[in-house]
Amino acid sequence: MGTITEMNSLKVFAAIIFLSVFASCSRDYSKPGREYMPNMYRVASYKTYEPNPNFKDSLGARPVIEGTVPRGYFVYEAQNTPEAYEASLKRKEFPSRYREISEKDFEEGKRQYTIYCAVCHGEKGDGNGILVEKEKFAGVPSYASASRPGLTPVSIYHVITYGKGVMGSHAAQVLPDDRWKVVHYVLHLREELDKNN
Amino acid sequence: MKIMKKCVSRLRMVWVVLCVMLSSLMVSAQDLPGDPANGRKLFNAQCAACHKLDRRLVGPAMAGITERRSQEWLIRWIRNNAELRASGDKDAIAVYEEYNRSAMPAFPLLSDQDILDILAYTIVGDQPASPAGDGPVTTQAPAKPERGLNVWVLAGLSLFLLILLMILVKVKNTLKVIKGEEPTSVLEDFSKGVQVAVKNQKLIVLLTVVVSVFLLKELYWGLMSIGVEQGYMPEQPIAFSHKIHAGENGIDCKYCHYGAEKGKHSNIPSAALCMNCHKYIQEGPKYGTAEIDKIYAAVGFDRETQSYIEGYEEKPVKWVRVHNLPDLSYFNHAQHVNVAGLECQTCHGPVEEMEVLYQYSELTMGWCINCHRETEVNIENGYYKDLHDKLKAKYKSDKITAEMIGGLECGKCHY
Repeated sequence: MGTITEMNSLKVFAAIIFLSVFASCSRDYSKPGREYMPNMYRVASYKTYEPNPNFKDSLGARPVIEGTVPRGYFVYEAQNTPEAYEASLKRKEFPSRYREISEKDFEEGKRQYTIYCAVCHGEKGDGNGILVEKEKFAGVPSYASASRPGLTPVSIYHVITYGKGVMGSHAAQVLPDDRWKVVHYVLHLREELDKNN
Repeated sequence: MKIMKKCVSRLRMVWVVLCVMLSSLMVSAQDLPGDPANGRKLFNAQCAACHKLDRRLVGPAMAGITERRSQEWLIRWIRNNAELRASGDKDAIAVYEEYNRSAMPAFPLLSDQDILDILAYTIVGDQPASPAGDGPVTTQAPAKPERGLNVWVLAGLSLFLLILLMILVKVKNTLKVIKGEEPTSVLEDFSKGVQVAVKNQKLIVLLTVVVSVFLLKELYWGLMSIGVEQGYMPEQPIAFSHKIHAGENGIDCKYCHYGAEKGKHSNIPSAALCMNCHKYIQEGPKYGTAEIDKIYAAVGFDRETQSYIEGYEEKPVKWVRVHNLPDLSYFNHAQHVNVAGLECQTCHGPVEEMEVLYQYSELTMGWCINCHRETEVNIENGYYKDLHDKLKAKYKSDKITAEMIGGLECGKCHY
């Protein structure tokens, strides 16, 4: 008789331990978790980045049709060729629309420069961004006239749009209007660098 | 004369080859055309944007360039390659054509000695013991000691306790033998204790209450967590580390997620955007080339030729979405990032410290509403002064929160 109660009490203890362990380990963070009535949560339509079997490449996020120009956008007609870059070096004037910019736009150019350019080109445009300091990148040129004599507003615009050498295109990140603001800021940095030399 | 010239150039070739061979055995400054330390500095400042020593980048690899070309030719080419090409030099034109006619800039400011220094650097390379002094930064092996250490500490501790238990049992049994009693095993002692406990009704009641409260609590939180994905940390197709990119390298969130301030969605960057940096940075500190190769497979970039494969069918990277609001609610990133000026971290937590991204916030309705109740609205804009004054008068307060301008209206998020 004694052995049976012994076994029972052991079982009770084992059950308690098992339950507490089970309860505390039930969440698996590689899964999103449980949902109640998912059809209220998830609509039937395709979402932005979802694969979409109706398209051959199954891309849900469709690229715009080539040549599409959003209303009010600046159109830069030059293509991504070395010749076009050479040509841009000869265009020393801003397009009239962007020649003068307001203080607010200048600040916006500075803000966008800090986000999209400064990691490599540096806050001051001297080519010492944080990635260069950490030796992830090397040889990022300074904007100073001594280092890059030929820069023009249009050539800077061209390089932001299409990239050059190791630098990739930043056309998706910096929209055409904002690109001219960034060009203004880059030229401002160039002046500052030249002043200090 | 011609023979003389040929002989000289031959001799020079021999000399250069000898230099290279010597440098691999023992580098002494006398065998080199210049000072490699200065050359390294100049190379990193002037050339490294397009050239690497060991592999092709925009231009050809530079290691051993002195074996392939003569010193005079190199000096002329580096000083002003357009001039050299214009003079009809066949080699120069061939190089220009081979590298897609992307012209190398002229370097009129480099002296002959500067160029020789650079050439010396291309011979010596990044040897840690070279006169250049600072060689390449040795990447530290990724050490993850914390977790392993904890396991060992726990194992050691349990071993210690086990030994302690055995000693105590031995002591107890020895004492029992001295008293003239039968020695008992641990299990026997334990079951005897349990038997006493089971007979104690008060203890059983208490135990039942404690266990029920615990189970009810677990049940309650289990039910409350339905539909809440806080802590969700799925495995991604590429082991991308926000800690390295946004934390250590200080890249702004918006560099990649540029859509956050422009539209409803904060975009997942395309693989083409990764290439902005990874066309140059081809090896990671932790996984080497394995993870970066996945980007190349997506966009069709060939490591061998360092160029994009033409006509490659791109394969999108299938990232797993972490933050997912139910479709019955509307959320707009631009409104929060651009208009309200919130930091990304307010909702997404310390992403710059996350090796693997996880959902930091609850993203429940209560969480949204709480923030709308507490967050003050910026009423500095003079254009809307009349409206702001009206609001201030209505709520008799200088603080206007998102709630006061309709941030809790049902239709703002559910329609």
